[in-house]
Amino acid sequence: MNDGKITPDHPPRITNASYLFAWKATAFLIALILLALAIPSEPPPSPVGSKLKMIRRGGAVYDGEGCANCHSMMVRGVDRGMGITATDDLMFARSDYPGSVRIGTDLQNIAGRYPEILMEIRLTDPNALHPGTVMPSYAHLSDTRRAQLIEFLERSALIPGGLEAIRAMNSIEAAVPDEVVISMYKYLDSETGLIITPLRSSPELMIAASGIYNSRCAVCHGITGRGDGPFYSQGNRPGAASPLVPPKSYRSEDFRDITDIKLYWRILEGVPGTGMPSWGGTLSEDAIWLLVKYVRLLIPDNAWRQLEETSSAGPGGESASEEDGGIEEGEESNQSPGISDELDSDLSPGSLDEITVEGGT
Amino acid sequence: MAQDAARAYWRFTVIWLIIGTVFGIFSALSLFVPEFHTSHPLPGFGRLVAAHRASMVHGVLFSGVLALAYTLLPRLTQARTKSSRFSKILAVIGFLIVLFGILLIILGYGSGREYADLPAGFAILYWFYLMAVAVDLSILLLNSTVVTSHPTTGLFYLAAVLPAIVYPFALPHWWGAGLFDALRVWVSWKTIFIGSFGTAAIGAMIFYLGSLKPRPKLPSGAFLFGIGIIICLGPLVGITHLLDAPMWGGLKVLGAFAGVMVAAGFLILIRIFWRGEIKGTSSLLFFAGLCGLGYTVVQGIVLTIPPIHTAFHFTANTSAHAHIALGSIVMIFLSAGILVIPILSRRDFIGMKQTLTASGLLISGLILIFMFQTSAGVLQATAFINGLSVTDWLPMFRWLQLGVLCGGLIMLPGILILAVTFIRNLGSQDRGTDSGGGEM
Repeated sequence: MNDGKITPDHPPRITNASYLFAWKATAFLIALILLALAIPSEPPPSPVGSKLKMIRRGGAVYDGEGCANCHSMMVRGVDRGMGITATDDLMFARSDYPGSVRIGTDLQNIAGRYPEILMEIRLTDPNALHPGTVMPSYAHLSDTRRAQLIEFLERSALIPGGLEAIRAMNSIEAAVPDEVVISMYKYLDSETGLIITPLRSSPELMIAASGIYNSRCAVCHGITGRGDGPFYSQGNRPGAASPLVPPKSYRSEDFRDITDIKLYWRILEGVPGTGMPSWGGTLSEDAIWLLVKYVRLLIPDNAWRQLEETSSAGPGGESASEEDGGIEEGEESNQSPGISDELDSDLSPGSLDEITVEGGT
Repeated sequence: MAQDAARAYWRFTVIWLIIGTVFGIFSALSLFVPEFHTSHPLPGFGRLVAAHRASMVHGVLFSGVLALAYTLLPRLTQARTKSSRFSKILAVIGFLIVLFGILLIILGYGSGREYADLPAGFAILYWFYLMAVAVDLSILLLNSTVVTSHPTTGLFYLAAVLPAIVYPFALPHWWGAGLFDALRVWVSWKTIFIGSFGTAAIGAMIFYLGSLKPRPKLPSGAFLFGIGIIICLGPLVGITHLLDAPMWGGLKVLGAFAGVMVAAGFLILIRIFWRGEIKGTSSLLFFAGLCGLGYTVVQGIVLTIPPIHTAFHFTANTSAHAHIALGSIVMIFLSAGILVIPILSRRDFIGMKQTLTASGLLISGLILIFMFQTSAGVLQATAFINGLSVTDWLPMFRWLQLGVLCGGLIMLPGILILAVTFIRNLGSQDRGTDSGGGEM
């Protein structure tokens, strides 16, 4: 008797059940593999989520390091020239400490006030910036924790409601990606929730802006922004395989009510699938904002559009505009609307309104 | 044997007093020489001062209250706790929770909230611990067959049990910031400070005066009435804050009224001490603590006046207020320890002379800290009223921190001497007998 031992003389019996088991196991493994393939891989972390996580961790660093012992995080009336602080103002602080709060500055609204490198120096060697300060060095923090803290301080001005509220309050187009909106937080006014973009408007800057525009943009968009630059006005690019679609005129409906932030984004990243390149790697942030300001001048505002519609509506309308010194089609094609006048004045978005309304009445 | 928990709590009180003072000294140092941290990988002012607060409040004051309760309640009620081993284990658990909580604060994981919060998880553990202590002492009271009319029984029991009731409101991140934080502060911390620590200190004082011969006439019921109102006022003010009700101003008036009554009681107590003989270490520390607490109460009333509150609340004056209030309570606890530890050890307190020197150092240091921090607060308030910028007054502020640092350095040897003396006295007791009760 073999006693059931498996030896070379007594190999195991391969029964139908064994085959069945092998098939079942194989099928099970295949099913497992298919299931693993079917499960969607984890999506990459969204920039908003990772930012928010970083801000939250920065808040923990702020708490853990005891920053609230010297700094408040509430808008103190006295700091805004609003007179004596009410007794219970401390209730609105992020964390209220009796004692030494007035030693440090209020940190509620520092977002965007200082470049990141300055924040870094403030944390690592505060005495270098303010000799005699009692602020200790936070050089012992790891680079990651320091970056999280800076992120938290920079974003502390987030208004309630977060990203969506900021989009809604600033009428930012849905097409503008979240990370672009987040990058605008440094321009956020926490009290109003409005993004105050750095659109500067001195005549000298506008001359510089026109230089950038004429040398880089006008070849396609045209001097007046009608999309009739020499690149396209000849019908086609020499040697191009297919006819190129010229850029849309700034007078088109696509540009009606466009926000500065969308303009900035388009210039920064370009428009995929079109001839519009990304200027982010070539132009500095300041230069892009200058371009935004200049392009804004080339885009007729709603009052101007109304005037144009009125003048082209019929003989009555046309005569009325002519009588009142309105602008004719021929004039428009040669110069941008009121740009020469604008260069000498304050170039706030509302100023174009005033000029056109005066022209129409 | 039944007093092992009491001994443990007395030991923890003095151990935490040393640790907390060291944290305090380093905090003052980091304000006076902030460059110190640039060249050393030590935690900065923010972490140190949080650790200082947590060790003083959770380590010293809570332990002091429970040391008094576990020492005196068994005698006043002539009863025992359910299990002496359980009571001692509880004491050790409390010590460990605070120890690890403070370690986390030092490592940069503090809650960042005001007063003395432990990191969130440890604060919840501490609440469970306080509830277990409250249950333990309640069982002791239920086991009592003696109806005692001694007023301190109720005071010590209240002091030990109240934190378990109000501590959940103190849990960090429970209420969030803003309006709810006001509720958190008023319902929890201010009630704990006044209703638990203050009540235990008053109980200790009454106990001391009651042990004198001839027994002096104690303050009238108005004193206790005032205390009662203040204890109830905290939650009331917090709820009013929460509802944003217009009663807030009225409650402040009521608070000021209660403060006046308590201040009157303190004046009577001070007069009793002044007229009687202030002799021995215990009565010196009692007297100093009493004066400090009396001043704190008067200052508290003055601070409820809105313009003064506005000018001073965010200044170092409030730190001075906290130092003198809680420092006075600690002195009263220590003097009560000198009084009651001989009961535990069944022999006279040894090292009275050293303790007297230590008390002198302790009182001088605390007065220095109080003076310099008040001056810093006045400086800040003056600058604020005159619209001066920080850079105008900061150098002077920094030098005033030197005075605070010196105060701490003067206190430290006194605290070390006291701690060694306490531990020596606690270690030399007659372990052969169980002093469960019946000694009063």
